[in-house]
Amino acid sequence: MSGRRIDQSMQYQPMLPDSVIRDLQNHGYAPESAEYLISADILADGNFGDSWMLLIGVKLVITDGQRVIEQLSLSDIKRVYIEELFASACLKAECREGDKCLLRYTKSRASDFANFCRVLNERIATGENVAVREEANTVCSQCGYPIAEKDGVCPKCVPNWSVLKRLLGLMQPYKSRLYLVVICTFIAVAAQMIPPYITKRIVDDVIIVKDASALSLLIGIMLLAGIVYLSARWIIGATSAWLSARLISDLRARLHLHLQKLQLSYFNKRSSGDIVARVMQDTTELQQFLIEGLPFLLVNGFSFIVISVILLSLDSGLALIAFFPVPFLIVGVHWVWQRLRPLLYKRGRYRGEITSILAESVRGVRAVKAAGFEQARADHFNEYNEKFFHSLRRIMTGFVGFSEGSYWLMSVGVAVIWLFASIRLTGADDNLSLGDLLAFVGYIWLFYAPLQWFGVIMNWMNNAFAGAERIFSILDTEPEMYDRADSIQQPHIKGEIEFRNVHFSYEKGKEILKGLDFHIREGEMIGLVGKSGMGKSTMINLICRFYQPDSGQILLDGEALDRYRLRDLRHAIGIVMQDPFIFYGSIRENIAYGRPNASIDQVIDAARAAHAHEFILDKEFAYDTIIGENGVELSGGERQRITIARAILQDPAILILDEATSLVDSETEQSIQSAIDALVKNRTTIAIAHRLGTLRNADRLLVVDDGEIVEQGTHDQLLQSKGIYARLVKVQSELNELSAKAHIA
Amino acid sequence: MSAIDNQKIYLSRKDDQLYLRFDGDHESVPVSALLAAPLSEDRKIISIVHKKDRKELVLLKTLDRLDESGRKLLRDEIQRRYFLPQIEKINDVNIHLGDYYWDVITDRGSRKFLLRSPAINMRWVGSKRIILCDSDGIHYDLDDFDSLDKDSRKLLERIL
Repeated sequence: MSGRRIDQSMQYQPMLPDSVIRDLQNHGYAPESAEYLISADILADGNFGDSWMLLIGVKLVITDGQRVIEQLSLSDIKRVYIEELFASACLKAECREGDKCLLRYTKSRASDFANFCRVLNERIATGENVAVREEANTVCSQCGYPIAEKDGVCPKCVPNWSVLKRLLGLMQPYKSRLYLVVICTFIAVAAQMIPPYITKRIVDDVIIVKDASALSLLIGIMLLAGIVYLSARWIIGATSAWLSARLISDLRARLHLHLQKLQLSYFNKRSSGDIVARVMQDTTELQQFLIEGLPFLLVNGFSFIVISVILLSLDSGLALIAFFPVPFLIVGVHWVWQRLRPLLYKRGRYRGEITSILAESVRGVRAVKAAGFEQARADHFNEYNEKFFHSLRRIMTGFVGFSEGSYWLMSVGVAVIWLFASIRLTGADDNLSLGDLLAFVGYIWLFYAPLQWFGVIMNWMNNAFAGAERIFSILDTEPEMYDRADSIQQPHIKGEIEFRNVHFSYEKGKEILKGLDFHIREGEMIGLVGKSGMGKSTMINLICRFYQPDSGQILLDGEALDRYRLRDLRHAIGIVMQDPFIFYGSIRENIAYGRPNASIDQVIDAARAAHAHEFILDKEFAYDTIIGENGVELSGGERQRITIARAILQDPAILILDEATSLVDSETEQSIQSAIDALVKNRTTIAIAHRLGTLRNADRLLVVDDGEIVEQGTHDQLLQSKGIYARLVKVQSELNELSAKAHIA
Repeated sequence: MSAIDNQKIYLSRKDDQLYLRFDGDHESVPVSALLAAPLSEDRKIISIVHKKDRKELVLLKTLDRLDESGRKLLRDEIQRRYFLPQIEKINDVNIHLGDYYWDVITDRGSRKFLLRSPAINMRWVGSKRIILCDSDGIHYDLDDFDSLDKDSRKLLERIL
């Protein structure tokens, strides 16, 4: 049993080096019989470095890379705990003779240690083995860097072609158009090859021999080739534009859907701007590359090969001369591009900077004016504006120099061809005609021209593919679990809730809920009391299944919460939030958000019950008034009453009031309170309020402190017990008195 | 300034724990030493708070009120508590998918780390100092851009 455990932990924690194993054996320990193994990344002297702690038998053994540095008996330890330090932490043991620092580690290991600490304490308290929760692999075994998304795949080590393969996979439904593009590419390249050849024929067969009989045919073919080339390019352009637009629209739709299905924790870690930028910018970048870049690569890559063959077959000697500038062009492009790229990054950074300064100045215009900061803001803006200008100037000069320089290099190649060919022609070389030379020069321009852009396009492709990979990384992020095979079908949710030893943390290592146990009866009204940041809103998040608990169980009507389909569950829960969210749309649509089919009568009844009816009628378009972003502004209290009406209309089994009346003034609060009282009746209600007076009607109050329930009972019971709640009430009534006095004064 | 602001204070240490005693008091209380501004250029202002209730006991703008051993204890405690590696050399840095991959040597040893959202996590302090924050929330201090060796500077200039 214990052997298996260490095998499991070995998978995700670095294996012990041989030297450590030998040293442990010299001390008489058998490392393979260890129950637990944990590795830390800071040494005792505060430097980066690996050390390990093993639980072998009843001994805790700590070793750094060199030797065993500490051996402790479990019986000497009362408990272990974590001391949070700056960007790092220390696992400490409370021993009889004082506290001891066992291991030091950075935030990277916080999650492992939080888990380990809990497990070890249970082991000390009960003497029994406790299962270790497995952690995902966080460091790439190939490159040694931390893995960006915690899904075990290092994006740095995924090759480029797999992105292309996936993109092609997305085009599967539009296969026929893809073939059309490829076929037209062949036709375009073939048509492009014709005019220089016709030139040769005109010079050799018409002009030199002074015989015009074939001229009209040759000119006709030349014109026809032009039309074929034009048509093929037009079809390529139009089809690839269609394809890429189609592909990008598909991708965006999938992204949008997928984003909504992701767990909330995904959004905690990223700014909304970041996500929106990914969806819009990355897809746009990809689209532009697919429209312009990819056909360019296809057509020119193919014609490059064809022309090489033609040149060699025309005259291999001249062809070799023509190839001579190619390496210089490629190296030159690379050299210039290396120097341009940092400038492009810089330009992006400065542009971001001036955008955010501008946005801040506009949004904070009142504060800026009030502080008399207009000039300082302007200077700040100018500083980056000038930097932006200079980076732009350097990029532009660089680009011009680059394209003129490569043109010159090509001209040198052509001049050398003229030189050698002319020498051979005047020396009466029979293998070369004037027509050959002209055709040659014609092909050479076709050959050189795209070369200078190849490097740029390849770079463009890298960027576009990077964007594609970012998009895929969102699509690959696991969504919330909506349904399970054994989900309860069409449940009738009554609203009995039970927490059994629930642990939870948003950020690894910082536990918010520390083993919650409580039971809420059907139809009961519960008030959650406690200072902010103690875990009240977190409990609500868990009930709504916005997050999954780290350990422990949550039961609804006696069944595990995740056995309900997410839709059924969320439908049974009505939430009135502290910061009510209003969607862009009419007031009517906003109230009917949870029940889109509700009739106007039902909407009005709900609004009336929420004391929202009168203020809604006062708006110019009453229930059809458009609210939300860019719509009519509502006050905080009005927004809250709309969401209360929304909850009333939804008629949920479980009602959650998260500071539902915090934004309303006292007078309105009283009127809403009666609405809420009516709403609360006959359904399970969980209410959070800082103004304790609003919780007086609760059947039971749970006092939450530091992730645990420290007191529970009715208002009167808790007052009598003179605990935390009694103290909070006292402080608040004192405050109220003070403000009342201030009013009178 | 009142007399209390010049009162001498004494620090001691037992089992990894710092204790504070005011001149004239008999009892020592367990304390933590916190920097008021750990990331900005001025790291001198130190607040000493009670270990348990986190109330501030004294705010030190200089170390004048401490004796020599107290200063050393305080410096050691700050060094222990504030894990802020100073970057001394950059072995490699490259950008992939908009994330920055760093391979550096710091005063606390070498480290490979990942930095995301560079607009937020690469912060300039003044014109020569950069604070980097990696994906795990560990900060790295690049104190003086100019004092780096040539190769490191070149790598930095490429991405900045």
